[in-house]
Amino acid sequence: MQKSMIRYLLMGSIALIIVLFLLFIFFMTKLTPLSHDSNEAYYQPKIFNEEHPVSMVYELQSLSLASSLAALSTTTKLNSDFDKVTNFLPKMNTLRTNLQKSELNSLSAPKELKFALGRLINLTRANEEAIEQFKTNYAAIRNSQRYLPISYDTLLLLSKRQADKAEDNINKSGLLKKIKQLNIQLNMFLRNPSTIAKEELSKELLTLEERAMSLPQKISNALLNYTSHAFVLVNRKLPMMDILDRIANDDLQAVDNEIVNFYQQMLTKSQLERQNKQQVLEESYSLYRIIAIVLGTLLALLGIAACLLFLKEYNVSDQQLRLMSKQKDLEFNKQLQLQEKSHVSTSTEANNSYVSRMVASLTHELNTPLGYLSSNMDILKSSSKVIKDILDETEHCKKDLLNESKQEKIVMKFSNSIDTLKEGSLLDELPEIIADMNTGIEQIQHLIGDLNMFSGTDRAKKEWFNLNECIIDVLKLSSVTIGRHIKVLKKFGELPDFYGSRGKITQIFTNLVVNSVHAIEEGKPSQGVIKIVTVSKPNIILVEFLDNGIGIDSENAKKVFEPFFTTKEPSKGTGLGLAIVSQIVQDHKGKIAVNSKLGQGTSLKIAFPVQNKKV
Amino acid sequence: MLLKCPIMLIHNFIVLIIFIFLALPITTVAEPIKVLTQPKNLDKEKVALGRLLFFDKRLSKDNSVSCETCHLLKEGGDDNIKISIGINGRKGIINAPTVYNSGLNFRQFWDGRAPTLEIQALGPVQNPVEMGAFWPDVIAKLQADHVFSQRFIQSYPLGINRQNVTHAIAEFERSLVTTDAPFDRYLNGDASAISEDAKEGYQLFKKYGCVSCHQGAAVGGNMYQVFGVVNSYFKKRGNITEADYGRFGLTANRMDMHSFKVPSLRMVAHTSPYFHDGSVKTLREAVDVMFEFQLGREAPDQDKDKIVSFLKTLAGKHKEFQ
Repeated sequence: MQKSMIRYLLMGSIALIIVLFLLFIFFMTKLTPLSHDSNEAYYQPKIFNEEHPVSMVYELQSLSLASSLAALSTTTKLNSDFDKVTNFLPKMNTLRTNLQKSELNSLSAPKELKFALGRLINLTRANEEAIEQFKTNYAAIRNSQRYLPISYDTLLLLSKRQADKAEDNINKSGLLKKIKQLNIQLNMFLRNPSTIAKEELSKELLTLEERAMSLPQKISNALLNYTSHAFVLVNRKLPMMDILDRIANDDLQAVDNEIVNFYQQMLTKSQLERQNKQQVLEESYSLYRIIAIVLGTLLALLGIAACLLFLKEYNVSDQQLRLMSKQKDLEFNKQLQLQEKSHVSTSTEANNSYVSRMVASLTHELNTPLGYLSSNMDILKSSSKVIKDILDETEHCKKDLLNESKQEKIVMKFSNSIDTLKEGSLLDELPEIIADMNTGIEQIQHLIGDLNMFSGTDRAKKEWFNLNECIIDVLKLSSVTIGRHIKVLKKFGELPDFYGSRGKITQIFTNLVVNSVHAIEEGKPSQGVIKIVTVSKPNIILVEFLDNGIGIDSENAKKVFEPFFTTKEPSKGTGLGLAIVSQIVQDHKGKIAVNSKLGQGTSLKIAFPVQNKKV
Repeated sequence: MLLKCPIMLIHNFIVLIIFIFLALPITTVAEPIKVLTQPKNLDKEKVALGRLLFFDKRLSKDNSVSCETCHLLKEGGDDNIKISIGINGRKGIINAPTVYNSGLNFRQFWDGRAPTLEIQALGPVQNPVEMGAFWPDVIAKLQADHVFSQRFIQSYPLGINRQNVTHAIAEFERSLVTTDAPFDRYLNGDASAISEDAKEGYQLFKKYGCVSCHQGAAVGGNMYQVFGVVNSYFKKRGNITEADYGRFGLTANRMDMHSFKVPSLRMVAHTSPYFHDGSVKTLREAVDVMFEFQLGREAPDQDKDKIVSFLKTLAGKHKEFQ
């Protein structure tokens, strides 16, 4: 668990680093343009030098643009912020004076350039002035536009109060009517200002101011307040429009471009070369950047994959933990799972090796008995010739017997043939040969029986029976195999009846007992012991076979349930024993696990599920 | 599942913090008045030299007047009289503005004729009614002081000349920024830094439109405006002098008549009398004048009082001012 935690920590930190790296790249690309193409209008990267006159021209251009934009943007905001506008002015001023002293304005500079520079300087000065005037006018117009309606309303209110009074001049003289008319005119002017309208309005406003002198103090003040706001608007509206035009003046930008173009033409070859070099450098930089981004994304994908893997592993281990805490017999469960796993993997991956191993085993198993048969057949074949010869001789003898003169000869020949038969010892060997041939045939039959059992084609009837009784039967049957030098310890618990094939189960136990006996014989311990334990657990019957035989190493322990796997000499076993056991256990929905140590012994555990008898 | 895994938790937490930092600037609300901050990139030794020169009477013809004579640092950066008195008791023509926060002004002088503090410092030395000196004489006097010139040369390798002297003075003036005003503390989130009246005064200051000219970090000092833009101040006051022309005296543009640099209101509580002619003695009267001639409207007395209490919170601290 600790090991895996460290792995998770590592994976998590890698993912974190990758995310941070991605963020870094994101900001890099955000802060600096990826390629200089988008920035081509700004000449600066190629000969960027603050003191270079052309870069000064460029800076001036961008500053005047920025300040006019800032000026215009204040008109759209609730609170004007002129700090932003004025921040550019000192820089513009110094740039302008520096440009005047620069080499562009020197005696050696071409006339056209000097002329353009002069225009630029004048336009910049005009631009600065326009921005100054904009601030002043904007603040004034903004104020008066806000207060003109208020002053007009107070004037109307006062005139209404005055209407009944004797000295009411404003209503009776038609002055109020004129004011109302003027207000409409003024609103029209504000919407569509023109010089003619401006002059008319200022004339009428002047006459109004004159007439206000003759009015009572209060109403005169109100009227004068209204006219003064109106004057501000009338006088400043047109200049304001002019200023806005001047701020957005394209001439400055045009002259800037003119100078830069001219200067670019003037650039010498060496400078162009230097530019090219720098461009190549920049391109390679952008290449690096692209590589960095690609690498970054790859790393990020890897990180995401690592995260997913991590989550998956975390999930699996979590489930495992839960399972293990539920069951008491931890080791057994683990083994069962491992067993299951190995079955899953071998059934898919090692099918081919099964087949090849099966073929090898089968040919070997069949070859041995067939060898017996064929070699003995040869013997029989060659001996049949001898027998035929003897028969021929006896035939001759039969004829010769009729002729008494030849009796002596016959006796000689008979004794000769008896001698040949005796010398060949054919008669002595014959039962042996037949017995050998029988063994061969038996082996083949046994093999076919095993195969049948393994393939499951031999379907036995199922019945209810007690496993303990079954084991006792097996022990009785194999008492000869076990012999007297091996001690058998039985530790049986009370078991519920088991539903299954009695014959097959008997075979399992027989196989296991035989295996144990073999293992003990091979391991040669001072006292061979086989211990058989049965335990009843809820829903499970547990049978354990223990022996202190030779055991097997862990490498082979994984393979013991594979068919045709054997550690014994080829002639001694088919390698199907435990495979059949495993197959039968699986047929009964049970599980089997082996735990063994080389030289110490083997423990085999089988778990059978308990069925409900009523069903 | 994500929640169970400690690494993912830490990771998500860090990502969250990054996003909060990215989103923070969007949430801050813009106020028309900004907090004053200590100027950066100032040369301490040059500031010290500038301070010596600022107090140095040798800058005047008869060694009687220094910059500090009219710009009393302890009095708020001006001399608290209507029109300053220069060499030989000669009267100037205009009210002395404060030197505090003058580095923030976009132009110098009332009519903005000097674009920088350096160029501004050139003026008064040769002005016959201020210091009445001649620059070459002043430089010679300063060069004769070996102790001073030795110290000066360490900061300015070219030694004492007109450009370096004005630069040192300007550097000193740039250091005269008054920070940590009660109102700045209020802007920084300290709600108890100013009184309720002052808070309402600030809202009125914005509502009536004072803020359309007096805004930015210096609360002014970043634009020109016509004095008496709505109602003619000068017609009412009469006796118009050349000093009242404002920027018109420079540009001869009709639109610039009576137009002045909008002064910074940062030290307004300490720089009475007010306006270029020093015509008004109290802050309250100055507010009245502004309402009448700049805004062209009337307002209740209590509103004006609140604005005055707001204006008093604008002054910050400086070691020269205490």
